[in-house]
Amino acid sequence: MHRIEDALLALLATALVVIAGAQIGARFFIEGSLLWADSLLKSLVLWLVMLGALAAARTDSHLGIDALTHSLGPKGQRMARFAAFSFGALMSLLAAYYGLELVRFERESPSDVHGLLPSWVVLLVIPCAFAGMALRMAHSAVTQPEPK
Amino acid sequence: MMEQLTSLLQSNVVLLLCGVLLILFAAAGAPFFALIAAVAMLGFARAGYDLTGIMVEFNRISEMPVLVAIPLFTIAGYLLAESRTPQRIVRLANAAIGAVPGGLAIVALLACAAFTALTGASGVTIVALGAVLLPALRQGGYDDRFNLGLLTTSGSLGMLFAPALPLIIYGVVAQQLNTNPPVVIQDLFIAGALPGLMMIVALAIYAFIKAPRVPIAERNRFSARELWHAIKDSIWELPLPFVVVAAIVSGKVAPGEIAAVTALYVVFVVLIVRREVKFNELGRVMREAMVLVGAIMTILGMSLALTNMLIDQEIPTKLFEFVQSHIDSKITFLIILNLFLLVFGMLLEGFPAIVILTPLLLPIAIGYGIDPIHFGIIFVANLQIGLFLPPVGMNLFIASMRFKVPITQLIRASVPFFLILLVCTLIITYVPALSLGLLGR
Repeated sequence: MHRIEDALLALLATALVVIAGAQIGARFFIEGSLLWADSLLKSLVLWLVMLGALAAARTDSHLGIDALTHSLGPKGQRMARFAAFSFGALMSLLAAYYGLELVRFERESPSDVHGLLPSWVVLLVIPCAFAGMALRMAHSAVTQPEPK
Repeated sequence: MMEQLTSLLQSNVVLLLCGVLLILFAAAGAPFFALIAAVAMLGFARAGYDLTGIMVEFNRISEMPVLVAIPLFTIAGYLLAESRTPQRIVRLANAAIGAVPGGLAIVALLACAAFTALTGASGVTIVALGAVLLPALRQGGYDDRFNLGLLTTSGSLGMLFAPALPLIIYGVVAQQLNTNPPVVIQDLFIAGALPGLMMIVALAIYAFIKAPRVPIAERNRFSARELWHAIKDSIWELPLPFVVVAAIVSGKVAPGEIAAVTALYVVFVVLIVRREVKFNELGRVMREAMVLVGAIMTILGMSLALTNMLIDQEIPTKLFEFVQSHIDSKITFLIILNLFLLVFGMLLEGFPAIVILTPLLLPIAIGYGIDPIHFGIIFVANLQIGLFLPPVGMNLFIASMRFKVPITQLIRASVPFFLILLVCTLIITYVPALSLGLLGR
């Protein structure tokens, strides 16, 4: 599962570099623009951000103030960790719920019709990734961090 | 249920309670994106708006053309960090100026600044370059306390140089506020050049003073041959900064396009010409890069919702009126701004500080007649020193892990460097011409 996730990230990131490069090439050398590329690049950025955020939740890499809990004892640190990640999980769950609403709205009245896929399918990554983040953060809330 | 929540949130006691809770969660280390989302949701709910609006705003991260630059520059930076480019930068700079007293230290400054400008995330610089530079400085006879201070400080040097991500992110957030004059990202790049240079020159002078006084025979003498070999060695990396600077100065190329060319070129050089990152390692490097992108851009996405809510509730305007009724001079405002940014730059670690504080502070600054471009440079300059400000600046922790030295020792070592950059930041703050001169404003 982790390997599929990593492979997908690498694939999409490579695609981003190639397509963004191709678009510039098109602008400078054939003085045209690739209409399909524009829409595809936007979708790629969204997917990379969401899958990156999901991967960040796996390794507890989301940014937060972690310096203040250093001075706490082991028990205090466990409690702070539980509070911080439960809160993160709860907000991710809310984001997933409202992300699903967004997908529903988009399906009823699409905002972009130039893409290869219907735009609501592209947006599905938002609720899916946030739901995954909620699960991972809930798991982190009750487990100890891996030694780095 | 939504109406009940809306009416409940009209009460100041309830709002205060929510605020206290959120501060506690923040102190416990809750992710910034979740905290920002919570504030935005409370604001939306209080105004009686549908909370789906939060995600509509969040989705705008995929609709701004400039934001494609963030994943692209991050990919380029992580690949460069994995390759032997850091070693080559150090070799070249050493061959060019290593023979001058303090030359090696100046090499470290220049190499770190160049690397941070290209990679944006300053923690990467300490990790990638520290391992090369620390032994070199020790061998050069520098005092270890000086070395540690220098490298900890250099980890955030270069944030003011194009195409560093902090300037791009500030530009994106500032553009949401529809300022007059508008914030153009290319202008930020040009405005950052002289202030960034001043910081390097100031540190270089200090390095010159602190350099070990060894006879010239024992120092590595200048050798045209070594310089030539070093140039040949870094022939593939050398064009990159020139292309980036030329593209920015021309004003014809968007940041997203500069990023695309940079990323494509770096992938080509590192993977195909140099083969220093193998194809089977690409997955890991890309994943590490995207973890950072995901972490930064979820914060940015939620902050777009927050900014929207703040503007809708006219909070920046109210805040300005409040501040103005207590502080009447621009100078006093700037002093308080400096203190405020230093502390929050330390606590919020760069990127989050930019996305959270810009919507609140920029309208106030404009009210005091500060140019939004100048404000961006003040902001990033303060964040840069906030990053290694004791006791909890992020780079202190990264350097401590990397160099295996206790934090207290790093703090003592960083003090003179901190004071030098503090003076620079004050000059940047009170002399707007330094930032705006090249733009002719």
